[in-house]
Amino acid sequence: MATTGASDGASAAKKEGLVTLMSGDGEIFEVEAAAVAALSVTIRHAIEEGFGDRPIPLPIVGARALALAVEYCRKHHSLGGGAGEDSAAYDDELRAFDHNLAKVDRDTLFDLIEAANYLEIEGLLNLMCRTVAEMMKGKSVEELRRTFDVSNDYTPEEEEEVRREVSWALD
Amino acid sequence: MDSSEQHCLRQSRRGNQDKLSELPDNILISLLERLDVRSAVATSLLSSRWRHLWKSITDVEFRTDSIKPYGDHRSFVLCTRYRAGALNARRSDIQQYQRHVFTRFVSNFLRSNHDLRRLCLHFDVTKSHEYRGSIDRLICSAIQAGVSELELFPLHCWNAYEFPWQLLTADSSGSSLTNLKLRNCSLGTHYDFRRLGSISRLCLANIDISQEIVRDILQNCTRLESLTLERCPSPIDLSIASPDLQLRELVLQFCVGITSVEIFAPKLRRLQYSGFFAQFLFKSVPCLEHISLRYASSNGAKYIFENLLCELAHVSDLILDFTSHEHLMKPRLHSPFSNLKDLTVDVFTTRRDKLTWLAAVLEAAPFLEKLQTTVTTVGSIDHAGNGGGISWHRSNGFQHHHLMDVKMHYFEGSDFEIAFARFLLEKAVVLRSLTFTSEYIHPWFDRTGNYSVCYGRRWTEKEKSHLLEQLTAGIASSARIIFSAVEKVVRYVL
Repeated sequence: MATTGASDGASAAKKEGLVTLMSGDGEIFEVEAAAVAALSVTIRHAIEEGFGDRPIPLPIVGARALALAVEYCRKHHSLGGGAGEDSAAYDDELRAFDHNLAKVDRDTLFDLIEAANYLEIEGLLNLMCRTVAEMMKGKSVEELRRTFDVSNDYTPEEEEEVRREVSWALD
Repeated sequence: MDSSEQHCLRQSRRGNQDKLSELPDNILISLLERLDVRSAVATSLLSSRWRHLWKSITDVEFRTDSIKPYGDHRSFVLCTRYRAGALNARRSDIQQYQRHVFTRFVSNFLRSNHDLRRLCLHFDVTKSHEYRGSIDRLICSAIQAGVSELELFPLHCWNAYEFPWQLLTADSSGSSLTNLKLRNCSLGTHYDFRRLGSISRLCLANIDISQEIVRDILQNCTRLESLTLERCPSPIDLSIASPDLQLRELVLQFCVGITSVEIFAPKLRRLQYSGFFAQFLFKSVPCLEHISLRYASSNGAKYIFENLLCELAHVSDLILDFTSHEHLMKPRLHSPFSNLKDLTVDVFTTRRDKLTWLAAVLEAAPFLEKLQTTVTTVGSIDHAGNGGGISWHRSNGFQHHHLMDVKMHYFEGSDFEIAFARFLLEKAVVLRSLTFTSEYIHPWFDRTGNYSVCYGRRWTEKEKSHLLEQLTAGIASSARIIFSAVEKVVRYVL
């Protein structure tokens, strides 16, 4: 994360090829414009709309998730030429990077999904959704509730009604 | 659950919010689409947030085996329950029960879900008219409900399920069906592609076809942009020609009966062929840019080198895969490849030859940027004519000014491979990376129709430094040399 160069205040002199991002919690990131614009549709549009000189506000993205998302963009831009993971250019190093990124803790995982969704980074969103889906697979409803802390807000009558509604899928 | 466990659980509930349920609808729906459809529907029991989410799934695959995720034993128990006391349920009864569960599941699902875009149906085939009728009705109701992608895969029995033409409306102009993939089905004698006039992508796999059927498709599916024929066994001299053909992509895979392919398709951009030897007759293909030709029989090499390459001067990327039992001669080329940027060659040969022929292709492709090779040799080293290094064919002063990335797969470190690699390091002056892998890309199809890679061995550090020395001794090149090992199977999309 040190490489993304989080700094306080947007006062730093504008360097060539950099763009400034502001996370929802007010942290400022100066990052390579080419890398993030290649991977993130949202940032690409913001740059095209002339945000180039001002910090681009990313209201729902926290600093930690933003740092990881930027790291993802940098890595994929420099190694994969921005290509998706189905590309043959997707080599060992990128795969190892993705594999490690998917090991983040549960909260960060969900924050990254929201960040990738907001920033429209398709590869990152797919990677994270696949990770969560793997965690969901093979689990019963009760196990899902326990794993993801989903609280059951149905009244017993409602639950019975839902159970009837989808009975064809349950037996 | 004892009281301490309950306490922990309560605490964790208080401590952690339910971040999963807080995700936006579109994300949760995409998560559901990654689960098997039965589990996806069951999530409606989680909480009110989840109750209706599955009804917005847009992409679903029904398989008889995922609709009954329990094994035969469970089916047996269920079946006996279903048969109310029949102790000796027969296998056919179990299957009948499973089919009942399957059609009930699919019809209930389709009734509740109104956003379905893609439907894939893998189902058993039986002689039972009732069962076939209900499958037919499911398919038609899905089409009427506005599904745009449909994939049908009757299991176990080839050619036994006939596509229900009679249930489709004769006027297809209002239909939203655009992609259709039929596998293992029969088209019957009353096929009528006017009823499928809305489709733009069609794939027929493992289906009996004829030139008449192909003509009917090309004439009536006027919006057709992509046609795939996969493992269609019928003998056929294929002709892809029709007035006003919109076809952009033609994929022919392992159709063993194809002996020749005539193409008059002015808008065709992409052509993929894998299978036994077949001759191509390019009548009109001015837009053809992407070609993949994989010949599984050994007479392909001669044809590619002597005839085909001359006709492909305008392509931008080219994959050639062939087998040769003879020395590979320099290819006959009338004009240089003026657009070729990406070249992949997979060669299986019983001769350990120098790669002079490949150097000749490179010389004829001055704008090439990416090269991938898999040269697999068996047999002993043939010393005849193999002395010395590699040189250009026409002018020895030639330097390649565009080649940037080269990957040599199945690299064994043999003399001729080293000689070719050294040749590239010397003559390709802007080379950025030269990657060696020991993996072997083998044309084995997986279920999705992609190529897979077999595992290769890893080089030891000592082997790597020895190879590196052999490769670079006396050569100044700024290219990055990479020895790569792949742990997982990589899919190569054809």
